Amino acid sequence: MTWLVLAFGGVALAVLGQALILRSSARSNGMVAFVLAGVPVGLALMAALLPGYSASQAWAGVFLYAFLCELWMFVFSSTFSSVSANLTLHLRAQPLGRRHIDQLYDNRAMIHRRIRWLHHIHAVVEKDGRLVPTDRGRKLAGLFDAVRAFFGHG
Amino acid sequence: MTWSVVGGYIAAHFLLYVCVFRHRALFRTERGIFLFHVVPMAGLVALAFGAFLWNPGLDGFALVVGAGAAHGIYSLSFLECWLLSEGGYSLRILSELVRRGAATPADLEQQFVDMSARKKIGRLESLLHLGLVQTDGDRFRLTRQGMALANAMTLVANLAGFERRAER
Repeated sequence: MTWLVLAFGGVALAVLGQALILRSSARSNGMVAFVLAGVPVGLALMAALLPGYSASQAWAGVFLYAFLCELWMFVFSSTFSSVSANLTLHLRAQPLGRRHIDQLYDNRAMIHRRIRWLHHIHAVVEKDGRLVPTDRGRKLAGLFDAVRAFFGHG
Repeated sequence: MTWSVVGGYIAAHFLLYVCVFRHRALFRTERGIFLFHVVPMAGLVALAFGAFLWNPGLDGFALVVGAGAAHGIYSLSFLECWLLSEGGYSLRILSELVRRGAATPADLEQQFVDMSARKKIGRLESLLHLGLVQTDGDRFRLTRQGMALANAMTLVANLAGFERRAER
């Protein structure tokens, strides 16, 4: 059963590595930090499990590690980007009235936050006061439209 | 039961979605698509657990854990893509910008301000519906479950060192 302990221990180590990277560099991105920590840990886990255990146990350990890492990334990204999660964190501090919530999530401010994000990932640039998609932005939008069409959301 | 059965099961689930279920209205709802993944995942784990009880051993137990984890990777990836394509706000703005060629921030404001309002109201209603938030007079407060979730999210933020980053 040590493969099980190694998988859980690996995830704990990857989360610790992410925290250390984020604390050491204020400009780090949370996801990138986790990938930087999680990939070497995952490779080390595979190197430890594959020669030392039966194929079933080794692959179960690798799959469990990968699943827990994905789950952590999902929880982590939801906590910092989802409106619902953000609202829950505000309500943790104090009960809020409708007007206060409207101020926190001003409709126009929500749009401007998204535009800043698109700037940040170089998907758009500003030319003469107008926002213009970059090549990268066009590819991203094309991919998004294809995925929307696949799931029938188009 | 073997790993090839696990792989075949997951592949069949995906093919079934592509060929049949993605065209059905029920599977365009959050609840429908969530159940479409959770129920078969529970079925696969139950199948592996049955095989483990039939022939107990460490490899059989590993298959129970591995089957659940493999289906979990597949389902979580699928659901993340589904949710992003259904509600990805930034990407919708980008998609609109590509369609128009160029736009001022004011143009985008005008087009998306209603969506912002709907998104905010929709999220608040979801939290009320899920029993995470309750009304208290004219204010909204967390229920006990909501507080537990908020504490868990704060723990995630602390573990990742986000509070400290915010102070900088």
